[in-house]
Amino acid sequence: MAAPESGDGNNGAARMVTLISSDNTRFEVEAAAASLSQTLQLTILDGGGGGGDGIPLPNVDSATLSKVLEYCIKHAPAAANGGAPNATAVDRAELERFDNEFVNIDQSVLYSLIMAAHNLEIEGLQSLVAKKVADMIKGKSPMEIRRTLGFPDPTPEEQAEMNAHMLEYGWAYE
Amino acid sequence: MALDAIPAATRAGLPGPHPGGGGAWQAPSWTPSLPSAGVSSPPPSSGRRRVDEQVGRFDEAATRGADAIPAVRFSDLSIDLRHCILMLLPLASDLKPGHPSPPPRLPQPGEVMSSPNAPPQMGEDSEMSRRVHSTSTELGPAPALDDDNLLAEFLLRLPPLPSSLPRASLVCKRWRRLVSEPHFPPALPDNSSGDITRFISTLDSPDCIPAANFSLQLAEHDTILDCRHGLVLILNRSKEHVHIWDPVTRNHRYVALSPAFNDVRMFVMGGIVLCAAKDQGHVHGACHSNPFKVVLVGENGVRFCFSVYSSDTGAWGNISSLPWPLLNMRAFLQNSGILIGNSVCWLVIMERVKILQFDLDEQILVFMDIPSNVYDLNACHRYIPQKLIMPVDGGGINFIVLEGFTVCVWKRMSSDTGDASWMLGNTFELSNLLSLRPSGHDMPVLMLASSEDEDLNGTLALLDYCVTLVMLTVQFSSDHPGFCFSDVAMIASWFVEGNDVRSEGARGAALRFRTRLHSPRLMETPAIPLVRFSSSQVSHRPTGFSDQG
Repeated sequence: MAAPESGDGNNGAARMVTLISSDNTRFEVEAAAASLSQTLQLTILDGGGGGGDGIPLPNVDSATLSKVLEYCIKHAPAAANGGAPNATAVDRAELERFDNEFVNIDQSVLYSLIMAAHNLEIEGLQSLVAKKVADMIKGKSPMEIRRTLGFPDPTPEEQAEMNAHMLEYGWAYE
Repeated sequence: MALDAIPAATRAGLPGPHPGGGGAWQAPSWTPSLPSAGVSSPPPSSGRRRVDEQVGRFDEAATRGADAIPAVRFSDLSIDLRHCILMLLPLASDLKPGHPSPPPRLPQPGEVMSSPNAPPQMGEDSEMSRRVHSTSTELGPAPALDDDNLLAEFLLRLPPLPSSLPRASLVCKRWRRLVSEPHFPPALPDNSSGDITRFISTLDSPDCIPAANFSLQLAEHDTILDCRHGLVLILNRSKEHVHIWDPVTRNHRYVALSPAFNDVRMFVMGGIVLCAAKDQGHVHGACHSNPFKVVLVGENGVRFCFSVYSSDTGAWGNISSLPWPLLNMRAFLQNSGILIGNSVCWLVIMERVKILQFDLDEQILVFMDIPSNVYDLNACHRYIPQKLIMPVDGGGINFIVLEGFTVCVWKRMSSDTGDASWMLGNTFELSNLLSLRPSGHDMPVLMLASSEDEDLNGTLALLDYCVTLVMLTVQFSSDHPGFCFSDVAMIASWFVEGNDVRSEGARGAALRFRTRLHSPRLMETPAIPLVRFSSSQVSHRPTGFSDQG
């Protein structure tokens, strides 16, 4: 897959790479954005993904990948600044606003994003979606959490187990 | 890479300074639904009832649970310990990073989501589902929830409230197992022994950790000396150590007494413990992992001696001392020390009352006179005068005298020459402020403590004879001395020393409180009957707090 001779793309126009989703949709993005993924980064550094090659991502469908890339493209400039010591408060606020809206999505999409962020190892996105899930369950009772996350109703065994556990932590359930 | 993206996301992931939701703190319902009910109240049924009412469908099991909690046998405890209570306060501000547990160990940006397991490689189809450690029956509805590492990331980002992880642990067995893993904060205080209930969380449900989870079995000869910044200082002369206990993290540190204090002639009069964090912006409250200092004060009949232990150096410093003022005269400290600026101050009762001030930085010890005309043992008083020192903004000190219903506030004024003198500041008539009934009692209102915290600067804790605890805030800054009552419920922690405040012979009982406000103080509430007990209950109530019914 790697094609070292294809150059480092450091020749004027931003280097583009192609990512191929599980349903064979091709996405062309700047290498800098795709490199937010630790998983892709090495491949891209090695010159992969350029030209007609493309990097196949069999775990990520096109809908999810487009969402992931939306995130990467937004965050790539700041990431390129190396931690952005000189990022302005406005920039940061803008990113925060973007992030908040970004995770305002259906639960199924969120779950797909979680898996994609994990597979692709995009740290910022992993953090963001994890926080989103935490927000979804915070302040909720155990049963509410189950319902929120779509767990089936507890089986009698589970219920018995919960009851037993309640003895210890019933105070937190109130 | 992605470095830039991380701070924003991580920041978003961190709990805000007030995860409990700011202004909702007035009047937590800890009085009636005292979590210790199942432990401390005499009728065992109260614990049962409490759980039943609150838990609904779990009532049967919960009933068994109440029975399972060992009842505290207060009769087994020595008197002075019996009445100790400490209210603990994971205050919202304290919670900034911490809740009653060590600072939340949220993953650092660099390690976000990195798991000990190798991350899945591209192309490893469905590897994810095979990595799940859970039993198949416990899988969540989505693969994202089935991975333990991912789930841990979610749960670690829950607000660091006492209820967060316990609640998560009730969702299912897999979550429970995960939450009990060591990298999670010890947010699940075990219920092991309900030995002595001494701590009461003042947080609202569901963050109100039961008092039983904050219990400590004091050893023989243990004496609680102080409580500050989330630490409790316990002296044990026979074991020749001090014991520093963090009730929230349940950490125990034992420090052997310095040789000078081990001398049999040395009488340890008191001591304080304080957080020694020097970080800029450190707010005391969640001080769990910070260094601390212990100051002991003692007398050997010849000198007053002080020694400071620092957890940084792990050693006691040199002894500072002052000549004993009067041979053959005993002296005792009226209260445990009050931190004023960088000094600790005690009121020392000798042939007359003095203020003993120990400068923590310079390690200098001085006696300070109290206002000369306020305390005359020979004078004939209708009421017994009570006195207290109180820190004021900027490191100053006030001397408060309460006689009957009259509070006099003396301010210490420094002159340009460095001399200091006392000046009578304001006088308050409590009977005008409180709905107090005159009684034949020689101390119709008990002055319990003054606040040390900046948040409650200038606040006194008073206990009237109807046994209502009120906070009187005396404001000195304005031209028109004002006053207001602060809701005691906002108090982060407090510590009752000595005997039951209303039992016979308990005149000198002191209630000490450490405070941290959750929200701006309530200004208009008059006497707040949050803390009540009837006189008939006093003798067996360990805490003085009971249901109001």
